[in-house]
Amino acid sequence: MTFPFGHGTTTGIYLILYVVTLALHVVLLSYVLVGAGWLAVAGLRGRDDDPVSRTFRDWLPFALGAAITAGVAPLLFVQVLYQQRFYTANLLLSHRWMAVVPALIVGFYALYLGKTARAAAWPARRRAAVASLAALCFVFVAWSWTENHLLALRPEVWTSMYAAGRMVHLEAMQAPRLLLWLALAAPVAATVAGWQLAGDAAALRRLRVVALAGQVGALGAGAWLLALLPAAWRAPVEATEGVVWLALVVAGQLAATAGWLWAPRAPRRALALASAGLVVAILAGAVVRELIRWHASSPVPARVAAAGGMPVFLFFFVGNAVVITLLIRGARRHLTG
Amino acid sequence: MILGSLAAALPFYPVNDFGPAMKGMVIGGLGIFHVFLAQFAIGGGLLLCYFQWLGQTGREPHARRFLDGYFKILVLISFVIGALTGVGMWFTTIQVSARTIGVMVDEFHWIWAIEWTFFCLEVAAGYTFLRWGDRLPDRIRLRLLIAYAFAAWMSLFWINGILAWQLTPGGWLDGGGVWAGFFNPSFWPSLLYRTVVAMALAALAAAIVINTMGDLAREDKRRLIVRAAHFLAPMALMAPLGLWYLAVIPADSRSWLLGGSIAMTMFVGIAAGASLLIGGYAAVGLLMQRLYINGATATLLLALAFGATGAGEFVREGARKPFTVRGYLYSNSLTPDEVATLRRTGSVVDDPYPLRDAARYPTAQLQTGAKVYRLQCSVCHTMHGANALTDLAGTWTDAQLRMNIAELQHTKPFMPPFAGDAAEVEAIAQLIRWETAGAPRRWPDTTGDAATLRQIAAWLDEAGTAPGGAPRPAPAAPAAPEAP
Ligand code: HEC
Ligand code: HEM
Repeated sequence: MTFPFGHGTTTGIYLILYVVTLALHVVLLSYVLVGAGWLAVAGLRGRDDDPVSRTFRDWLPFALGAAITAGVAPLLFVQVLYQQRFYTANLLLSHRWMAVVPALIVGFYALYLGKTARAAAWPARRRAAVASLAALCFVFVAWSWTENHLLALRPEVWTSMYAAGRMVHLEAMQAPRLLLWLALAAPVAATVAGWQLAGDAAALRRLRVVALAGQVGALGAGAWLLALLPAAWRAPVEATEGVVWLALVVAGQLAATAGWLWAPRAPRRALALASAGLVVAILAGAVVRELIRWHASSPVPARVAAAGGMPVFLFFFVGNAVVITLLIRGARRHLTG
Repeated sequence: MILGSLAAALPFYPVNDFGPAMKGMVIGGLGIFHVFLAQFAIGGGLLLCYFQWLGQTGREPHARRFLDGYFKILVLISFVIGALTGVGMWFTTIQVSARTIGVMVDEFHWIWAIEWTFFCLEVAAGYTFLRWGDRLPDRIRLRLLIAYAFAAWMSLFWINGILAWQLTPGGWLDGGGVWAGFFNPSFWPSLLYRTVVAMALAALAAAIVINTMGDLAREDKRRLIVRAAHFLAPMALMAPLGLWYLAVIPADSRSWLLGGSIAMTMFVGIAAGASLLIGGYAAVGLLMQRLYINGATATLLLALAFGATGAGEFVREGARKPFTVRGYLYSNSLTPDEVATLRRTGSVVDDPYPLRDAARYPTAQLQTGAKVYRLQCSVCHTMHGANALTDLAGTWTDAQLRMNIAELQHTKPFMPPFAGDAAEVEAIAQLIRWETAGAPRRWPDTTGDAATLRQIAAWLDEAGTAPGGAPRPAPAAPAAPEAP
């Protein structure tokens, strides 16, 4: 069975769309998580008026809106691919799961508040408190998604969890998994912010610290997570197919790390290398993550795979991407020219 | 790996208890909020295009000032709360009826994926305008606003097809596929109706915003308000569009709305009355006499519009009963096919989820009753709260209970047929008695009462498995229309 087409062409197309849109979601949520965290720490240290903080503060509300919009697409495909697992996990977590939406609303308005002229006049600590609240909300949301994902993969606990009326699912893998996402977010966010501040050597130096610390953390959390994988989940990862994808993750991460080490000397070329490395690592990592679930699941039913509308989707997918590019290009031409 | 319910014939999901509230109320509350905001965003986009055009053609000197203020509000409220309540709707629908949303995803995922590409366009165009709009020439501003408004309206276009399909699946039921389901009989009337509502909401919100623009002279405000009020004019179409909608929905749904169900008729009345008030005010006050509309009045009218939206959503949800997908899936997540099968096998034998409060019940029969209630009734009823079974049937005799439950779809045609065997009817009848009696410690078990079970089986046969609107008795189970 070879991913993604081992369960048939249409399932393969769903999987590709899932992985690609999830990767986009990951880039944006990384920016949100790290940006809010950065503002919290910088504010606590009383130094949140540097270019990096200003950039994060300025772009965070948009990044959150974009992260949410980007999340809608994998949300759709996960329901096509793993419907019953996903719904069951949602239902078991119940109110606990529904808390994600209010947390995001609070987080958004905290970001927005931090950006207002009124907040600019506050003492830095108060801004730090607001940013911490936002960061806390987003970590809660990230934790909820990992919890839901793990629970969906554990049908053996469903009935007992239901009977006990528990709305929280805890297991050993959750901590390293969440840590992995948080650590990986650092180089990703640093790279995006790096492009925004590519001309600012001091800013790049500070971002480099974040990026490299994140890479070290990701290595540790990744190793910890691998060590905890139960045998049935480990098998697809250790099979040839899994090893190939894992090797791509490692290669991408090495490139990204090299890029950041090199950043002070040739910022743009180094950022290009880091970006390419991270794109490969995120996509390949998303595939490794998926191999486990894919091997434990059945193909999408033929009736579902036969649902019409794909050509129209592809038309609008490409068409709207072109329109978006043209609109933004057109606007930028007037701003710079 | 024990795949639990993944292996069962029906998809069994863990059912949560929402206390005294009916599940429909949970989704209804959020749904009204979301629909209101989303429609405001759609109408707002169109209104912004209009004002940009008024400004850049020199027709209205203050258009631009209004536009920039209005846009910030639109973004702040609708981008975020609109998008998040949308995600919230999705999550809530899963909580209330996972299988319904599952069927919708199975059939319409590509439509939703198309809608998503328009979300992306909406965010990109809107944010570009928000960020750089004040430094861009009019031509580019108008282009961005048109893209924004078009994308917002297209998201309505796509979702409207799916929602309308739930009540009028049209040719989809005969194997016509996604597009037959999408362009279903109520597609156009509901799309146009919602567009008119969206424009009206945008106009009322604009009147509020214009009133808060403190430094404008009253005459300037009046002029802006009259301009915005042009967006109330399409309300004249609401009555014909509403009639068109009524004409295409199934006859039994129509009869609920027009007197068959008191609650539903009342909500139709509220929606129509509130719309009439708003439209009447607009027609008399604004379009004909060009009066001023102050902030308080505008707020009041917007509140009325919120009420109308709420009532309208309630009607839309309620009119589908006993289905969530007309002719294909009942409100309790069972298909007509399955009802016929479960009559023979019983409905809860395969349910892998235990009762959370099993120890509460003195007999195994009552436990079965509780599982049947959870599976088949709890989506519309509670035991002691809203639409409580103990209130509705607590005073009935045993025989009345048994017969009315066995013939559920004829007891009230907006209930689905009972989907279990005679023993399950008896179990839930006993459960209702026991709950009404205050849940005593001891309770007789009637499982072995063969004569009673025979009588119930006869009632079940007499009722048939066709929905209540159909002629009775139905000789055999109707085949559920197979999804394409
Ligand atoms: C689609 C939603 C729905 C489902 C599912 C449903 N009901 Fe009802 N039921 C209703 C509504 C609505 C009423 C009317 C309440 C009223 O008249 O105030 C009702 C009324 C009743 C009544 C009172 C009827 C009368 O003549 O006064 C009984 C008894 C009843 N339901 C039992 C059940 C049982 C038992 C089940 C599960 C096997 C069930 N219902 C499933 C919606 C539903
Ligand atoms: C700031 C807000 C958010 C953060 C920080 C966040 C974080 C995450 C993380 C860490 C994961 C990976 C989970 C794992 O594999 O362990 C994830 C997955 C996912 N997220 Fe988000 N998320 C956010 C908002 C959203 C929203 C609003 C949506 C829906 C619209 C969404 C949709 C998804 C989906 C569908 C997945 C894949 C789940 C799966 O396959 O099991 N996310 N998110």
